[in-house]
Amino acid sequence: MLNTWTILLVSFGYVGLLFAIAYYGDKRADQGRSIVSNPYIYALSLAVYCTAWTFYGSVGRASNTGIGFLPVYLGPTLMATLGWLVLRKIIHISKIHRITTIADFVSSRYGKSVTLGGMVTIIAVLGVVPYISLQLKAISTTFHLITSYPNVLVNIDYSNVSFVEDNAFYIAWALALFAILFGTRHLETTERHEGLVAAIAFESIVKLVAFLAVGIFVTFGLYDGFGDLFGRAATVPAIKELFVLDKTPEVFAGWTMHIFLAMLAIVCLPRQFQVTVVENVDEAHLKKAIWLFPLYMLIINLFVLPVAFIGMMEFPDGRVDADTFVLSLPMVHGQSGLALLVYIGGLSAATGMVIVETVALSTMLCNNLIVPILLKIPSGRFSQLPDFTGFLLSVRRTSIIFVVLLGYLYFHLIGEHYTLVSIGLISFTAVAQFAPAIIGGLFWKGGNRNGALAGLGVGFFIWLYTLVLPSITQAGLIPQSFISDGPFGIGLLKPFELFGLNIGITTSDPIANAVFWSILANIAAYVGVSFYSRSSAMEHTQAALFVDVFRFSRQGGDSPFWRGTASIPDLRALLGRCLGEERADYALFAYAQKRNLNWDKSVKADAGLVEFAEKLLAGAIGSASARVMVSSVVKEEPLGIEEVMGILDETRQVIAYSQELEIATAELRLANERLKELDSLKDEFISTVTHELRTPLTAVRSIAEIIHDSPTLGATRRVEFAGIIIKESERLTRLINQVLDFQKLESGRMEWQMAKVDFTSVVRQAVTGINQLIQNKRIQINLDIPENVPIIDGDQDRLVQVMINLVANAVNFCPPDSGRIDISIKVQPENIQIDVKDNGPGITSEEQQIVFERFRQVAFTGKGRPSGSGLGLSITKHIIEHHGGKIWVNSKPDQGTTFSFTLPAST
Amino acid sequence: MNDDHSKIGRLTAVFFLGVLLLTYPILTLFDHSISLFGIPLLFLYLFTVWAGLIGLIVLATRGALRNRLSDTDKGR
Repeated sequence: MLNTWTILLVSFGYVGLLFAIAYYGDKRADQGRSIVSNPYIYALSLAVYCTAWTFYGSVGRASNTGIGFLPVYLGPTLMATLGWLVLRKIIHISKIHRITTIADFVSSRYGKSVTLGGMVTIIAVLGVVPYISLQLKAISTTFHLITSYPNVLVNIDYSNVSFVEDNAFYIAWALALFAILFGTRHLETTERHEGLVAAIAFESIVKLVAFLAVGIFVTFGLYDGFGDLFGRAATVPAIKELFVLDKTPEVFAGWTMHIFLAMLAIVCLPRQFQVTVVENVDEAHLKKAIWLFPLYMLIINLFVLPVAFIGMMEFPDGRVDADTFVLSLPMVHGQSGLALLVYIGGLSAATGMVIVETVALSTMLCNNLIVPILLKIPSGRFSQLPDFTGFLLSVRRTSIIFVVLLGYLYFHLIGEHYTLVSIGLISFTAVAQFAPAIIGGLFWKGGNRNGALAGLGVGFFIWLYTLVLPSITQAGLIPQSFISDGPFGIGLLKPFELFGLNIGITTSDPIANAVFWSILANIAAYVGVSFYSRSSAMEHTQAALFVDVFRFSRQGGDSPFWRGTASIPDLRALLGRCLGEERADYALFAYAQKRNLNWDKSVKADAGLVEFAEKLLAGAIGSASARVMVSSVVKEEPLGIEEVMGILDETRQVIAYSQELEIATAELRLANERLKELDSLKDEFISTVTHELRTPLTAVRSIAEIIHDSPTLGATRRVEFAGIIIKESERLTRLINQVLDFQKLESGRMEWQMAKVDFTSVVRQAVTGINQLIQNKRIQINLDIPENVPIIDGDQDRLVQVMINLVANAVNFCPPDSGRIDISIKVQPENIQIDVKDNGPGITSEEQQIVFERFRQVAFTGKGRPSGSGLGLSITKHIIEHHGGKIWVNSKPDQGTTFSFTLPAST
Repeated sequence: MNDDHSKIGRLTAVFFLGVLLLTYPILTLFDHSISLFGIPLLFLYLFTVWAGLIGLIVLATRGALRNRLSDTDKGR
């Protein structure tokens, strides 16, 4: 039943089915009814991680190391928990910057560096081609195995098998064709391939079902469940020792190192980048995928140990390769249908990987290696090619064929010496070298191009030395002593035990050592060189755009740093050449509509449009190449450090300006408050003055009424009343004079009669003037006037007014009966100082500051409204200052008040 | 955004828990040649922890009950 032709038919029938699914998926996408836009298909497409390595190799690995196959799946599970932090950021950045490969990501992050992009591409191709060859090897081996059904003791010697007889050769061509048809159908600016994703998701279901079928068959068909199986396996010493890990530091360090490696690989593998990032339809799908994908891995690994242990019990002599147990077990038990299903499952695991990996690698080769090199050709003729789109597509297609054939060649020349898993782990270690540059670049702005180049270079070199050179040894090209004794007999440099370190899940596990040293050196070089080298302005810009992507994307996603202009026809022509006329016109039309632009009126593209065009191109040819192409038509205002500084400077000016504004506003607010205060003071003044005017007026009027209404009033009473009227009228006159004086002082219309004045007489005149007042309150007044007080220049009457004001003020504040006022004159070299001291209640320091302001009256608690207009002290201050003197007050509550002023001596 | 921050926080906690449970020294506690329910202890332990981590990721990404309620409110 399972003859060669049947198998061939089934194999190609299966690949044909993939074509059909992919075709349907693309058709639905074109109609806008996507079948891949949901988290379940997305998670299934991520399961392209599980390749022939998982399907066949894990069992082989488990039969050697027991649980040692598992870290490869635990690592991605741990990375999935960080997925929302790390993967989502990568996806977000890639969508904004239209990044389509891991090489482009690294290149773009570090200043759109062409060198870096090329380096990543070369490492990826060198690292991943063996991995592709592993898949082809699995297809070839299982094909030869199943066609010899039911005999499982097949020894394939590939040196005798020409590729013409090897079905893997034809499968390889079929896969290349598939990748070309569905991976490079047209030049997409987003590089999403829905048909391809649909086919990959389907393959993930097939391989899972097939593996579960064989697992259930052996565990529950041949044995009585897990308990029975492990119980019987425990009776075989060689199997029982696989139940545990050796409890040595080396083993646990190796175990951790394998988990770490797989964590990095899930981010850095080109095919994982393709399905996780590029083919992602909606970031929100990641939320479900970060648990669906680990769940998928858990389920597909459930039966790995049972299959491995049963295989070891069924084929104890070791003549059957453990990598083929999955297929051999159903074969020896005559399950031809199951064997065929397993074969198809393995085929699906292998083909899914080859398809996605070649598409990813060909994009890289085209965008980050070939196009940049061609763009370097002088005279720029290359970028003027009329049918650039067609040219790019043929580069991609050639790259796909190149990669697949390279994989096939590798498998025929070297691959047969290795188990499936060890080849895969070597590839993992190669791509893990991208991790420091990628993850560092996501969160650390300081990482720069030189650092990334150094890290990648050192890591790649150690990878070559510890893993690749020894594999050449095993193929016989370098003497065996290189591994056993080290180069030139230097033991410390033995590639598998570099510097004497020997960690690993088993004693002969070179991977853990290689991972440890290469990643350590990589990180050290990346960080160290980044610290000690300068970054260009472009690197700074890109670093900020990547690390702060969520901040910038909230601001609209456009780079605030880009400055360049171009003519719209030039840009349109460039886009047309690279993307095709129709596509370019459509993109520009959409852009114009979204921003409400009318291009009929202007021919000059602004910075926003230039950047939009560059991003469109970046999707098709990579960011570094897009930059070169766009700059060929852009009148570039070169983004030097000056520009960046200029932008910073503008920002600084804006900040300074706003600070000035703030100060001015504060000043205005203060002035406004002062005005309001003055206004209310004026109101208060008017009410005070009118009140003061009304009191004597009321007195005058009421007494005049008494005189008028009482004709019989005695003469003495009449004289008494007339006296009051006169006194009150005088008070009125005095008040009105004060207000008038104040007006004159304020407006500067006061007339001064300056003369030589003896201040002693001023004091005596003033005291005499208000003696009545003093006597009424029975206040004691002391004069302390020295001999020969110098003559001063001044207006005698005004100065008397000053003294009267001050003494009257003191009288007002003095307590009756016990009051005491001291007036003293001190003679100083250039002036005289007059102090008027009372023993009243004193005034607080706040009140001292305002006491000279007009309309101010010091309120006394419990004493009601003070008498006077509130102008006296203000007038006094004006007069003193007019004479060139100073006036101040000293007081403490309950310790009296001293008003002092100086007047300059006459010259 | 707040919801997002707490989500990242919860998931990061799951990550550290995973690292703790899956590596030295906790792992050595279960590295013994005995069986539980007929299954070697180490195998049972690793697969159980693995499944547990997946469960915790589900819980962490769902967000707190209150957040979900307020999300539905926004929907209306």
